Amino acid sequence: MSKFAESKHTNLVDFSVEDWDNHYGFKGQALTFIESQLRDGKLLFLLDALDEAAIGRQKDERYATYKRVFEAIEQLSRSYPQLPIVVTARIAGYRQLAPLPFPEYEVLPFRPAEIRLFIEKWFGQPDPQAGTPDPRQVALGQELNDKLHNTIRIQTLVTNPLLLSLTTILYQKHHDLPTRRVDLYKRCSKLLLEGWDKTRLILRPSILDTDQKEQLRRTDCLIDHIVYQLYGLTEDEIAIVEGNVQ
Amino acid sequence: MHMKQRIAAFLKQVVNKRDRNGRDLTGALAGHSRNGKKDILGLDGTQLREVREALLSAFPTHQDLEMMVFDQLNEHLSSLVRDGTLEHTVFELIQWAMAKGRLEELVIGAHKQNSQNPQLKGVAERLGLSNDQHFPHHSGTHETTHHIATASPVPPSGQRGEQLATASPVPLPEQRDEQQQATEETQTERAELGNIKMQQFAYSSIPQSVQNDLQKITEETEKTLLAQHARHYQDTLKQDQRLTYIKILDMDNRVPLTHLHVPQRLQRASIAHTTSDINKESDPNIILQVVRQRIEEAYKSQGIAPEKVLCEQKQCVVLGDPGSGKTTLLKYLTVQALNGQLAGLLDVLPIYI
Repeated sequence: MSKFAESKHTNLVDFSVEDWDNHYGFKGQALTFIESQLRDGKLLFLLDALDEAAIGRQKDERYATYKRVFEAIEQLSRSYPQLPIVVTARIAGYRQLAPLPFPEYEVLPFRPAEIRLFIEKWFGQPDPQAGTPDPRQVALGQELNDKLHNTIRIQTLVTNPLLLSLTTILYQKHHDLPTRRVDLYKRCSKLLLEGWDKTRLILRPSILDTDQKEQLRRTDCLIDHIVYQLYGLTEDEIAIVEGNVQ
Repeated sequence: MHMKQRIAAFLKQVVNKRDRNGRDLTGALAGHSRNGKKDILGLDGTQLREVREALLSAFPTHQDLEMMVFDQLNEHLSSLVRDGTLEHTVFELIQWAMAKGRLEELVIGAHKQNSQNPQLKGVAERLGLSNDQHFPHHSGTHETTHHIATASPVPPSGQRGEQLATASPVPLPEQRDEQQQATEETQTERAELGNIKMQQFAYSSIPQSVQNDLQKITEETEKTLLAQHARHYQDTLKQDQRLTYIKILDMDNRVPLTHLHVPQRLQRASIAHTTSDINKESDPNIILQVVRQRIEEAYKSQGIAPEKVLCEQKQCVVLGDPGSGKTTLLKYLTVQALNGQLAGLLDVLPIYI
C-alpha cells in the first residue's frame, strides 16, 4: 500500500485507472473498463501491507497518510460491498492503527507437514538444463527434513515461512543445520543483513530517504523476527513486558 | 469517439447503398454488420503480428521509429508508449494506433517513410494500404483532406470498398466520373465527420434500425477493444517477475511462485488473542501463558483456506507476523486470479497494490 500512500490519491479506483492507463496500455480507456468490471463484480483488490502505508517523517504526517489510505479502503468497500478486497497487515502494526470494518484473519504458522512439503518443493525444483529435479538436491532436501524432524527446537522456529526459507537456503549452501537456536539466528541475521533489504525494501526506495532510515528498517525487521521467534511475543507485548520489568 | 465517427461514416455509405467509391452496395448489404466490424477492427492476430514484425524490420532503432511517428503521424513516440525494448515499443505503438483508430494511418505512414522495406511493402499491399492508395489523414485538417482528394487523378480503391463490395463487380469505365465524384463527396463528408456536428448527423439522418446496428457495433467494438486491453494487462502481470516469482535475498535464481507454493491457512483472529488481553497490570507470567496458549491453539487449529475465506467474506483483513507469508499469499492470489484458477472468483482481474 505504500505505493498508493505515496501517490497522493484519495481514491483506489482513480489510482488504478491511472496505473492501467499509464502502465498497461489502456491509454485513457481504463476508467470505462474498470467501471464496467466493478459493475460486473469482476475485480479483486489485493492491498498489501496496510501498516506500511503510514509514511512520513513526522507523526502528524504519518497519521494523515494512514487516514487517507484507510478512508480510501473504507470508501471502496462502501461503494462496492460485493467487491472482493483482501488487505494484509502486520499484527503489531495493525493493532496500533484504526481497524478496518472487515473481519480479521490470522495467517497460521506452518505445521510439520507444510515444512516438509516446502523443503521437498524447494529441493525438487527442475534443473534448468535437465528439466528434471537434480537427485543430489532431492537427497539434500530429504536430509534436511530428517534433521529437522530430530531437532524439535529448530523445527518450532521454522514454522515461520521466512525463517524456513532462510534455513533452507543456509542448508543448501553449507549442508548443515545448527542445533542451537542462537546459531541459526546468527546465520540468518547475517543473511538478512546482507540481503533482505536489498531485495524487498529496495522496491520502495521513497520510504528509505536516508541511509539512517534504511538502517533503522533493517534493524526493525530483524528485531521483529528474532524477538518474536525467541520469546513468542509481538513488539507491543514486549513493550509491556519491558515496562513491567522496569 | 473517433471510432464512432468512422462507423457512422461507414453506415452512411450503407444507407446510401454506395461505398466510398460510389459502387453499388445493394448486394453486399446483407452482411453489412459483419463487414463493418471487420472494417473497424480490421486485422486479426496474425496480421497484427505481421504489422509488428514489418515495423521492426523497417525501423530497426528507436530513433528511426520516433522519426517516422513524428513525420507521418505528427506525434511524439515517447508520449505514446512507455520506455522499453524496441519490440515492446512497436507493440504498444500498434495498441495505441488501434485504440485511436489510426492503425491504417500508421501502416501507410510507415510504408511511405520506408518504401524500400520489402516486409513492410508486403504487409501494406496485403492489407490494401500501399502508398498509391491514399487514405485521409485523421489528424489532417479539412483542407488537407479535401486537397488530397481533389488533387488525386485516380480514384482510390480503398480496402474498405473492396471488402464491402466483394459481391459487386469491378466498376465499369463509364462509372468513373460518377465514381470520382462520389469519392470526392465521401472525402468531403469524411472531413466533415471530424466536426463535432458529426454525431448529430449520425443519429438524425440514418434509419432507426441502422442506428440500432450502429449502437450494437459500437458496443461490440468497444468491448472487443477492452477485452484486448484486459488480455494485455493479464499478460503484462503474468510476466512481472516481482509478482509471479519468489526471490529470497540475493539468490541468483528466482523461483516461480506456483512452484514453491505451500497452501497457507488462515484462522479468524479472535479478540482473546490480541494484546488487549495483556494490559499493563498483568503479570509477565500471565502474558507468557497467554502467548503459549495462542501458539498451541494455532498449532491445533485446522485453519481455513484463504480462497474459502475470500469466497465467503469478500472483504477481509489478513494479519500476520513479519515473515509469516502475507505478501506471498497476496501474490499467490494474484497469480491464481490471472490464471482464472481462483475458486469462486473465476474471471476476476486482480489489482495488486
